Amino acid sequence: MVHALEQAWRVLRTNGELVDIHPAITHTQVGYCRARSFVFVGSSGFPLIHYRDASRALRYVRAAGLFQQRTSKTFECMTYAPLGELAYWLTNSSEPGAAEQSERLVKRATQAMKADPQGNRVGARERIIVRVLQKADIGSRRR
Amino acid sequence: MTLQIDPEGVEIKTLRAATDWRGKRVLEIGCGDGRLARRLVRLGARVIAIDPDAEEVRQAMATRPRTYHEKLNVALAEGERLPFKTTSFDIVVFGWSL
Repeated sequence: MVHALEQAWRVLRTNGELVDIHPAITHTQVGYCRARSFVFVGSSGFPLIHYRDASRALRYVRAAGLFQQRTSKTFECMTYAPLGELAYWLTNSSEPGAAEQSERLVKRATQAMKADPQGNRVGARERIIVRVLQKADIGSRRR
Repeated sequence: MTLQIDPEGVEIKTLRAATDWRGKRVLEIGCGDGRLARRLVRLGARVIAIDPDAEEVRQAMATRPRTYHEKLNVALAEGERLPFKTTSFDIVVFGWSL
């Protein structure tokens, strides 16, 4: 990861920006929509631990003087799909061996939605962080 | 594919507020099927998107709208070995790929 960030630093122009987008929470939330709100049913059991490594790598290149944090924003990203496809997507987004757990979770959300007269569709919710870092001047404190 | 990621468009609003993309030369590293790259073009960027997976690159090229041909290019490459000249991009994006 650090090597990819160093490559990004190399190809960026002076004052160029690095934009990193990744989940700000370690577990994807699954539930269903009721009108404009999201009803939480459960979290995926497998943490998105590789994104912690991404945060560590960003801290490392900032400490090395390659980039300076300019801004960060968060938003909630919803993903919708039919039962099987959403379970597959959840599994794909986390650790190996999560398939059965993901399928059970999506089934639970589907049942909860069907039991709610105002429930309309099952979805997954992630809080996403967008970080914008600026390439530091060549003369700054490179290792 | 019936997967709908962020149909509400919250992501594109957040990205628009985060920085100015208009006319910028952008490299997206780990573009997957090109979903985010297409959104960056909508924000006014000229995008080169790369991915190490040949099938993802093929899909990103196949789903590229005709009107985006001059604004979006997709190539097979790895983030650890970028085949681009030094200081050639205004913005580099890692979307769920770092």
